[in-house]
Amino acid sequence: MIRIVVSNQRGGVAKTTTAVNLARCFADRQLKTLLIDTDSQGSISTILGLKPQFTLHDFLIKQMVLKECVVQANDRIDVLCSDRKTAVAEDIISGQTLREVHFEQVFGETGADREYDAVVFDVAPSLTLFQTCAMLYTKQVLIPAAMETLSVQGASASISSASQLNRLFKRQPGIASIGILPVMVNNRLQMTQTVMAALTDMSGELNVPLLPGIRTDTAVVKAARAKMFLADFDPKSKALEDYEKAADILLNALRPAAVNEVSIQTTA
Amino acid sequence: MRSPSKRRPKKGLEPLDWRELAEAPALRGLAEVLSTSPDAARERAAKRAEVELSVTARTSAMNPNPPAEIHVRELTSCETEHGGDPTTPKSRFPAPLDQFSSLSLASAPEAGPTLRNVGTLPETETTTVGVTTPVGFKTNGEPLAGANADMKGAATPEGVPTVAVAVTEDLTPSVGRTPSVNNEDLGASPGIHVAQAWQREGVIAESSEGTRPSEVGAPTVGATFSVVVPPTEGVTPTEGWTSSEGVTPSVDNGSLSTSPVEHQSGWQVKDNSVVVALPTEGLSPSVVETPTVVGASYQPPPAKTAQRSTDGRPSIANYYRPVGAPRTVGGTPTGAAWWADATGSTYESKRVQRVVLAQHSMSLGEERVYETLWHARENDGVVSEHKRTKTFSLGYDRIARLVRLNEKSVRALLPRLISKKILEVVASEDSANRIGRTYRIFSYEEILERQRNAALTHIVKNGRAVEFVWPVAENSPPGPPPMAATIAERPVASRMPPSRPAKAGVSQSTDDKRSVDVRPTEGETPTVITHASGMAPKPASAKSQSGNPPVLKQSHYTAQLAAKIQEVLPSFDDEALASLWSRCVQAAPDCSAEEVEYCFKLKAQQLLGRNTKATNPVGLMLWAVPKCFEGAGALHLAYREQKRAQEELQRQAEEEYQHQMNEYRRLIADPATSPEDRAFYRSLLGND
Repeated sequence: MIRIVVSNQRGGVAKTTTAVNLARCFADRQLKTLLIDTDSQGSISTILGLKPQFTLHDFLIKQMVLKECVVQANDRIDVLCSDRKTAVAEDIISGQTLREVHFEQVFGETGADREYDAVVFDVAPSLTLFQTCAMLYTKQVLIPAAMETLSVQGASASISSASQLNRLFKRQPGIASIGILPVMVNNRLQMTQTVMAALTDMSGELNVPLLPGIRTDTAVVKAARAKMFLADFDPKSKALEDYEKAADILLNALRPAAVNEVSIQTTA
Repeated sequence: MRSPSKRRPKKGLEPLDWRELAEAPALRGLAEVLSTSPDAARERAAKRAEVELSVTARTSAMNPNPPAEIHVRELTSCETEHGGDPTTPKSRFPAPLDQFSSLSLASAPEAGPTLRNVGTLPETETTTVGVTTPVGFKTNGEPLAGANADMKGAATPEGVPTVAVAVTEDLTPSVGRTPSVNNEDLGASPGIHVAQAWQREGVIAESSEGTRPSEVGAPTVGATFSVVVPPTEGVTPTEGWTSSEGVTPSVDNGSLSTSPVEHQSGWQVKDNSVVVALPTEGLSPSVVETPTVVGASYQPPPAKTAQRSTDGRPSIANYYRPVGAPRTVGGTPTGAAWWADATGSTYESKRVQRVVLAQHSMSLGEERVYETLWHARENDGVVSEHKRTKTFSLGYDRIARLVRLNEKSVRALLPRLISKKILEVVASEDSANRIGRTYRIFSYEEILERQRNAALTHIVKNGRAVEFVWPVAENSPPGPPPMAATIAERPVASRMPPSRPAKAGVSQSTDDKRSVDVRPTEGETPTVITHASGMAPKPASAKSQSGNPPVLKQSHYTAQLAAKIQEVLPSFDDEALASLWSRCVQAAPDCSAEEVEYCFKLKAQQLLGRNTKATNPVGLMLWAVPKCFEGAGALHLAYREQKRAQEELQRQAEEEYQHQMNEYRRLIADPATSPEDRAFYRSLLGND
């Protein structure tokens, strides 16, 4: 199973967009995907136009069955949405011991995620408990970085959080930063070059792969406005093309077998 | 010649040093954050819970049916039930699924307005039944100052029997001209609204084209409605005015005063009868000479109209009679010679009137208070919680200012409104926070229903007061009646009308089934079943009565289950619960009360949530919930499996926790551990 958390401790760096589009790319590659929103802003339900009856809070606090709480966004994508009550759930769970491994317990050990091939987490743009939980559960952190200074700082903070958690919990395998994903890349801007240089440096220094960038594309915001997946809104958009490439790289890195299966199916 | 370029010279960007950013002061302290002890987090959660509690308390005081929001109170109470302290929840894991208190079905809007069957009109004739002067016009037909003559889309409060007649702009509602209803102006929704408002009032408006709006929901395009003009004082509407069954409606001009609404209620209140204007056959109502509304110069319509009442057709006034209400005009149904009010004063039957409209039970002052409060804006503190109910938290002084009466009068009137089921107290006042007592005010229709449920069906006018009366047994001598108990002292069962007797052994639901608030109003018994034995009353075995198999196969459901389910759906009584339990046990013999409760709440949230169209929620739940227990993929099995997994997890987590703590201790003792790490692990051990 592939588990990824999309994290950057700065807002507005396309975490949600990345999570949604990666989930869609995984689903298009025949992977049954669970997309989990742990941000109390509930952005995923907004940009996909979902109207969840139950949310992450109901799953975590009321202990409802996962399949009752998710919303089907696609044939192969289930979304566990979030809302303001997520903050309450976070408060409750932070009073528990071993709170950091809560997701591991409720998603992993109960087998709630058993029927999915991929689980993608979208987290809040700050150091929250649920981000920690998601990191410890997925052990794979994808860090989108927009082409501006604070985004780089947020990316470094996320990588730092992962290493701190590794130091704290001493799990094997530990949390790995599987890649820095440059987003909103506009090569005509000088800032892009500057930030890309910094990201390349960071990538080499911290040994975190730098994935090919996602080009800036107005189709992304239009798709969100239309409450559709980018793949449905504009299948030929530049951003989608880049997300497809990134998804292939991630799948190759995380689950070579899965990609092989897909390519076999495609060939057949 | 081109001017030199004014573009600023480009400045090259300095390289971005990510290390500098990573070491920024803002990102320091990560280790401390990650190692915050759970106790600190608990304190934070408890503080948050306190804040939420105060907010919730205030909100629920204003709106007793809160929306489906989760409250921290609910969560802390979960832990309290399991032996924890609400302020310091000790549960390592989230509280089990036992609270759906946020689920308030009663707060959800009910399944749309129910169209009442108002009877059948004679098919062969086109009868135009009059309506009153529309809102927005004075009784003399002139528009009120500031009133919008075109009432297209006017937001008439639901359930308020306003006279929602739409008037086109170009029409002058003067005497002799009838405001016509134009569907194009109204649009679909207001038209339906109009029709329903009329139906709620018991008014049938039939277009001149023969289309009955009670079925269609909106008046026909271009349909013209005639106007009922109330007779003035002292005028006996013998000619052209047909009152039902020969009773002459006496009209009190004092109540016709200014507002059309008061005007309407004024003439409707009198003598249990409704005044109907019958136009001449074949004539458009607008052609009919409409009599003057105000003043003694009122002349009845042409004599032709009067002939309509003598041809043996059912009286039009019967259509005004609410469905189910017996004929009342011309005498009281019980035939009792003497009636007594709550204080024991007796009255002759000729003074007794049946309450056909809610306004019948109000005196002028009470009606003024009611009308003002019902139509008050949100800025005044009146919050609409339902189309049939509103709540407000106001003290006597503010109410007095609002209704423009003396505070003493308000103090006297409010208890009377409460005893007449027009208001109810939802929450007591909070002097510390200067929050007045919270009341719930009901629509006319709801008031009528509540009064009927409380056997408040007949009134007598005693001076300016309007008192409820009850029949005295025929063989009793005139004098103080046997029913000396006050209204509040009467048991609910004794106040139930004969059509809805209180069943023995079955809890009596409140008269307000739509309300989630189970606190009893004054003198009422609470709805929630609380049996001292801890068990709900065992339903009578059906076998012993009808030879059928017994209702229950397994153990009985608990009183706790009954209470929890009634929290969700107050109208789900014992009988329904017994039936539900029986069906669930049939589907899954090993099902538990907890599983039934879980499935019930889940299904209730799915099926009876907002925007539900269910008209029979009890029946729907009786059908839907047992389905959860059927088949291999039954919902209760998933719930059971998850619960089992949670318990196993809890056990494993305990072990892992101990293991982790031991590991930290070992690392602290390990000389190879750096001082920084050692301090870090010590902080993790915390109070352990």
